[in-house]
Amino acid sequence: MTPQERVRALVAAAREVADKDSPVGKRVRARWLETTGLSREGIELAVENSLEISPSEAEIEQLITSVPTSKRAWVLLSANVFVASHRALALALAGSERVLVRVSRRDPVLTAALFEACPGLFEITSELMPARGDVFWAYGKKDTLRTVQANLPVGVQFLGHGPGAGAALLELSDATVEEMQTQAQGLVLDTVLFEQRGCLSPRVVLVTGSTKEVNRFAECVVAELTSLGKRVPRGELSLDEQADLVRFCDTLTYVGKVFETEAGIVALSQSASLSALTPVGRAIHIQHVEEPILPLARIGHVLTSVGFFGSETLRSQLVRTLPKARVTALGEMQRPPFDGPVDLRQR
Amino acid sequence: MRAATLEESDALHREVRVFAAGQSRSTFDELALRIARFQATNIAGFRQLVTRSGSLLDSVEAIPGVPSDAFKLTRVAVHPPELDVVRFRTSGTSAEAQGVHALRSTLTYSALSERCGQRALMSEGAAVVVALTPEPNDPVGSSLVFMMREFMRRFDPNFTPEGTASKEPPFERWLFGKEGVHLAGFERARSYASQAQRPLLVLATSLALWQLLEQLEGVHFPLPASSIVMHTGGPKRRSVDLDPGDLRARLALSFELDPGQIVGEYGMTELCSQLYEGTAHGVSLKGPSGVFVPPAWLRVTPVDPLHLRPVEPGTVGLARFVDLGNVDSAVAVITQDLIRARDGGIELLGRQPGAVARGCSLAIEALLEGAE
Repeated sequence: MTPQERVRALVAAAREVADKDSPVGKRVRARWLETTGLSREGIELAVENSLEISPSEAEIEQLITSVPTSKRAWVLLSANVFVASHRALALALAGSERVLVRVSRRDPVLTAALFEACPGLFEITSELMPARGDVFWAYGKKDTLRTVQANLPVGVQFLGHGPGAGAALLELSDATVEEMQTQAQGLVLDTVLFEQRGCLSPRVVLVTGSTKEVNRFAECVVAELTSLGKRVPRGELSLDEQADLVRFCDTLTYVGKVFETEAGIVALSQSASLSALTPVGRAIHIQHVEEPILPLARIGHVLTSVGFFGSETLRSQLVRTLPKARVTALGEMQRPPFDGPVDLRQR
Repeated sequence: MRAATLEESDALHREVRVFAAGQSRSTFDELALRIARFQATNIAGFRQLVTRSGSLLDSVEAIPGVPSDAFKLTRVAVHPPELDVVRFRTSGTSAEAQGVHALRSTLTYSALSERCGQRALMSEGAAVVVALTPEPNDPVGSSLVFMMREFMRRFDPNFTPEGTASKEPPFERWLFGKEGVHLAGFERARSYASQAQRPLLVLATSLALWQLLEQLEGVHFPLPASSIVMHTGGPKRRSVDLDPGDLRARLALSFELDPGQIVGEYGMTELCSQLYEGTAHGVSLKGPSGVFVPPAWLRVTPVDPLHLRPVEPGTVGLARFVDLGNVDSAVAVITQDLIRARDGGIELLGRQPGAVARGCSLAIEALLEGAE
């Protein structure tokens, strides 16, 4: 099979999994309810928005050129967001005829389903034995990646992808109410997807504009979060995640203003300090700042993606400052083009 | 800031110092509530926290704790910046904003820290005091270094303010530089203390003491009888791997002191009071090793991280401090330090790590690790 054929075969398998009426589609949904911590609606939202089942031919070509080639590739998967193994497999298949995958014990569902839907396309293994000339794709925590890389034989090409976070930047000067609503809708969608547990999920929101504009935008975000929250109930949060939200709420109550809704939390402050990321679980901290680029530059090493709304001048400045982050429209942060790894920091 | 507010603040400061001296008619609870109401009147953020919590500020337990993160994100003070006399800053990485605790007066801070130190570190009338930290510039931005200088001033009769050095002995007091601990300077201080027949009081972070042990390469460095080494956590993230029990044993061996003379201190930039182990001989503070005892004007309670209510006795919780010294900032502070109440004090059990990152998101704290 050519690289194109391998990737297309995988995408076709993903399409079958995404179909909630197919046998495999029904089975994975039941398992995802157990493994993801998301609500049934949250799972469906993620499948609809973030499982890449119809990439363009141009994207597939770009994906193929973005990866190194080898006869054999190994993939070490971690408990990532539950759709992530699709792209991880596509990257390996784009560059290698033979792909061996070790699945995550905590999140094996999609990989197993793709294996079932397209038998023979890749192999599932419990032992990783790379040799000179192989490519080794690894996903996981930084410490795991360091250990894995340190123990690889000479001549194995290592491609590691660690955790990350997304940010949003909005320039609201002169934005219309309709524009604010659209941007709020996008931001809320990006936030609700995976309950902010993805490496593309917005955990920092910086906004420029007048106080009136920023307040109006915050109101729009609260309205959109409430609205989407009714359709997509929040999933389960661990006790530690709940505790982080309590601390976030108390801190932001002191620092600014907090809108607590059943669907999640929106906070508004004038602090430019990015001393901590917003916790996961539908928490949005809108920080009204005068100068947004410098604070983002300080945390540039963790940023994989920036959802952006504003002038071309500010966009250029942002792209120059964060060349390895994907800059996208809000609402598109969790569905980057199928053109290579979602996280470009290793580039 | 209104004159009446300043007067009220001054009166509360005076009252807290009197309380610390054991001469106040007010109880701890009465004073804490007066300070909390004063802060609710004069700090919008705290007022919002009180309103949201539904507290009537009618008991100490009902005072909402200000999360220590707030010090990083905003100003936590009754008074405006132009009245600051010092701004103590938390240690931090380049990515992390530093927390700031701004004080309008250092009188209360000095009085309280001196009393805390006196009862834990001073067995005799006077000591020779040195610090294993670089000499500070003015204004001092570290509460720990400020406290060290206060201890030199209060506990060492040879200490005089800079510029009037006629009484200064022939040794340096600030014994840390780019090369680590100034061993020659440390030797001069030890000789001087021996000749003067006074104990040496060594003030240091745990990190500096580990550095000293490495520099000594196993060679003993006996200190005069009754000497005390005060160690404190220093940079939190770096101290994680340093075992306090191991440090104590190795320092005691090297300095030829009883292990009880190695005394742990716990303080935070966000607080005006400190806790100590009460293990040294001849001091008034008594307590077992590993237990940090608060003074009468500081109440520490382990609380559960979800509801912020006191946990069952013997259970681990987040540290909630009610510090009467924090007249102009936050009388109640919630930290991420995990503690357990024991023997009239607390055990320190590290930092609440925050939720374990699921998916490929970053844990909250991971942002602070800096670029690779």
